[in-house]
Amino acid sequence: MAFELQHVSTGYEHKIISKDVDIRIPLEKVTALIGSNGCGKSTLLKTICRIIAPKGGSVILNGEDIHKKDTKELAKQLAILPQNPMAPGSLTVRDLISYGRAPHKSGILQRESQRDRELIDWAIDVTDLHNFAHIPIQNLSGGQRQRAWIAMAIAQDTDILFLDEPTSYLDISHQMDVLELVERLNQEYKKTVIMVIHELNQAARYADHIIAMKDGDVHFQGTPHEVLTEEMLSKIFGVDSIILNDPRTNRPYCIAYTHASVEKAKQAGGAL
Amino acid sequence: MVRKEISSSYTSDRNTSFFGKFTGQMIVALLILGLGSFVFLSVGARSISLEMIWNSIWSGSVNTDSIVINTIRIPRLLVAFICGIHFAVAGALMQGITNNPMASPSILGVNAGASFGLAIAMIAFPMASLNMTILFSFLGAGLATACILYLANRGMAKGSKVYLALAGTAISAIFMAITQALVVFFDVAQDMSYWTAGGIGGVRMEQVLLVAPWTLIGVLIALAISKQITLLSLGDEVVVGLGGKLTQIRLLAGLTVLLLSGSAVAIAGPIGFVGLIVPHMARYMVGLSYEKVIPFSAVLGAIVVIVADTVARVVSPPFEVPLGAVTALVGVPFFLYLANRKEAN
Repeated sequence: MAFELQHVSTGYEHKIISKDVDIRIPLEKVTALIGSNGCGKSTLLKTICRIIAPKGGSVILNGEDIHKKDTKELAKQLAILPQNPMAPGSLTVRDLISYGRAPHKSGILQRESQRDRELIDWAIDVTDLHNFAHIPIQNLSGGQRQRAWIAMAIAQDTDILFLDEPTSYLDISHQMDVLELVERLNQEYKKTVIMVIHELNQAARYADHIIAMKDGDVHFQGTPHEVLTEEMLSKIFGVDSIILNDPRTNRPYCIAYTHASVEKAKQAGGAL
Repeated sequence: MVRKEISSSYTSDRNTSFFGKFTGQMIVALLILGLGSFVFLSVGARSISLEMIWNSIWSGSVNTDSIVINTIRIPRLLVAFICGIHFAVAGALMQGITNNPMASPSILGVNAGASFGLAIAMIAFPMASLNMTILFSFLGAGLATACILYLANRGMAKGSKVYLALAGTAISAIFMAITQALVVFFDVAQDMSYWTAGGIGGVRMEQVLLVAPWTLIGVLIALAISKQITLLSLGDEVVVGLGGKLTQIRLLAGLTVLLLSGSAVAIAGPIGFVGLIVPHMARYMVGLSYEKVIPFSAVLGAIVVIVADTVARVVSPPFEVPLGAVTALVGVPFFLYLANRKEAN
């Protein structure tokens, strides 16, 4: 079982960003999309989760092309957290989270069902937002607000979760909070997580599967050990690097150097 | 590891009594509307006692007062309801689909477009039926909307909230100017002047009955899409993620706006600012969910228009101040307040 992209081409109005992409994204795993700014990773993520319709090819989930399926039915399978989501500031955290239940309701002015309430309370619990449930989101810090949005996405009760740069603009401790939450959602609830992330060492540590992109094309995909290599860093990001192993997690991590700094170190007689 | 089920031990500690609250607010609003209606029927060039009003509605007695009530004031009251409902619901829908607090039929030029359509109808088909004029008004409103959408979706100002309002004001001014020129040139200024100022005097019961079905249809569509409109405030990508159909909602809401504003302008002229202010009042009172904002705006809109029209009639009797002037008096400062406020988010 996997998410499959077959010959997918995608982009905006008159601009093709990715051409003929073929990838497989394993289910019940955490997948990270990495690459330099503007390489098309967000565009590809949006295409996989149906925000953008592909210009060619198909995105297959469980044997079906998702761009041909009813969007409301899909909303019961896939939840999306976009980059920099916006909401009216006076909305309370709990009300924001309750919107995650929308795909499961039909009529208007429908009351919250027992199931809705369970899931909203569960989402508040997992994201540790008890103390903020009735506070307007404009009064939250960036990290709390991001947790509230993640809570909305998980209240949707889908098996697959798309996160577009969930850790951007957060400080290191809030970044860890979000990533620990991703890990927990995957390990305890078997959710498939597909995320765009900039920080390579975090991708290597929290993802099971990494897809590295440059100029719209997928150049590397595989486990962190397969993808986080000196070759990849050089080819995708144009940086020199050394790859080490984190003794606590047994995952690879990298230290990057610009080529200029390598030259400088050579001249200074430093060890390389 | 076995997949952990989301257990049913999570139960809400919070009593979901907000439904009771909304019902209460709605009842209070309807009571105010009822009271306001009696005051509306009672005051004017000729003051009529509440007892007299009651009798002329429920018993068939015929005298000067009952004729004034039944043939002049009741149709006028019903038109006030219709206009309030149409402009307020149209404004709420527009603010919802554009995510712009300044959007409303008057600010974005929809009303001016409708007036333009109306002038064309008067000039080309002087004998046109009300439904025919509604159709022209609807087409004019659609033309103005198309102009604004074109302006709003190009250039570097794309997406700016103030720019959209500015483009609307410019379009509004152009359509108003063309309308004025046309009515002067073709000598229909007399017919048109009260209309363009926005007034609901002299409306007959037949006209009310012709527009009322549009009220029902417009409000029902607005209610049917209200849940989806609420989601739009979370941004397009979130809407897609939650299974919403963006194009479908926007198109349906846009057509409903044209229907509601077009028919209200056809019967009463472009009464400004009701569609701007009322949805804000409604959101302030019942919260951000359009499932509540839309029905509450409808009632609130009716209240605002009957109050404004009552004021218009009592300022200097027996003369009447144009209703549009009264709503503008309150609406313009409010618009300036919104424009000066920091853009939401």
